[in-house]
Amino acid sequence: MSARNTYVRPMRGWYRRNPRFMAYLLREGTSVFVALYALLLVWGLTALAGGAASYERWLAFLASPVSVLLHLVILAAAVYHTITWFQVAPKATPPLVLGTKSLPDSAIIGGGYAAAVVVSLVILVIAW
Amino acid sequence: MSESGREIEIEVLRYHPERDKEPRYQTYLVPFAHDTSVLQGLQYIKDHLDGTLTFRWSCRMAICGSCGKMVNGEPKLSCHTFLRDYHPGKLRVEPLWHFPIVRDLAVDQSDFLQKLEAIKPYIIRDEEKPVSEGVYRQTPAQLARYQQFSQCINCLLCYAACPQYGLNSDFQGPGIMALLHRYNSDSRDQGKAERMPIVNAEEGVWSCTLVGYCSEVCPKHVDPAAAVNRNKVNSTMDYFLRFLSPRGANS
Repeated sequence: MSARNTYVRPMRGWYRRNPRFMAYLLREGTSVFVALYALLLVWGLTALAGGAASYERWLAFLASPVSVLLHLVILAAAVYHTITWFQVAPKATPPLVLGTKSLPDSAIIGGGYAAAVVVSLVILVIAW
Repeated sequence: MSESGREIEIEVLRYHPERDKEPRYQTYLVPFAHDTSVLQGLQYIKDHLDGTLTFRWSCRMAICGSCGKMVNGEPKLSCHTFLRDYHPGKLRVEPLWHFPIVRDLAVDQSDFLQKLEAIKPYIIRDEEKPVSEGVYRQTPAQLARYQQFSQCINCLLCYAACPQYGLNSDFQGPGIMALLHRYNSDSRDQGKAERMPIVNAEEGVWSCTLVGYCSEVCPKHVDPAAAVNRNKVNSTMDYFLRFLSPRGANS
């Protein structure tokens, strides 16, 4: 580095400087809700292992208004997480070259959305 | 320049390294026409209003990469950004974020230049063939693998868009990784093994959290976020393939 008398600007509150940074933090933040849901399922598994009474308690919790509200919040977060996940997927995908042209980003994103919808529908049908 | 009779307020960050403890803002009223760029606005200030204003520029046509500035909080090439798009509002011009300010709008790029040197941004051959044997030939498909990454003009807009670089400047950053990827993806190059330690380091690709703003601001559509994140795949392969082959993924 040079010996010049430079001024280094502080990074405090950097995420407020551009709406793009806020959207990024929101995207990363939704993973907390995805993890929360995973914990909910783990709780269900341990409840199942603990016998009928504990499993019934878990089911009762699931039916409670607090749980329904929590599920709605988690669903919204998971949908946002899924959408933004596939939006950035082309950045991490090695180029798929067909002839001399790479597969366009929109095809990777669209393929991801389609897969998410199909898998969700299949799970919905199985669980119904 | 002012045939349209329109004027716009340009608020410019000022910092004098010998007199100021911290930056301040100064506002100038600048006449402009339909085709007046932000850079021309700054040149008007320097020529007619305040000769002490310091900023970098060279080609005026979005190819040299010298005139990057923050314009209303977005990294832009100031020659490629027009005052008409901000009228009737005003605009605030600041030096590129995340770099130390040398004076006014000029930033210290030494960190980037040192990193650039370290990635060996040139074609490395195990053995150079003599000129008499002709050029290294490449197919269109081989060219397509790196061409977009070779469009980088080192303008540093992607660094101003990267909060991870701002929080920790040890991070190699988007532009460097794009340029490194450009040479690693070139069929004529044999220097990948020399560059992979830079990719694999915590300060290499793994400091990136895919904010993705770097690719949005790139004036040359290089997509540095793709270069960084595809190299997370390469770095992982490089790590695991060493168990299969003593020379790793580079053999």
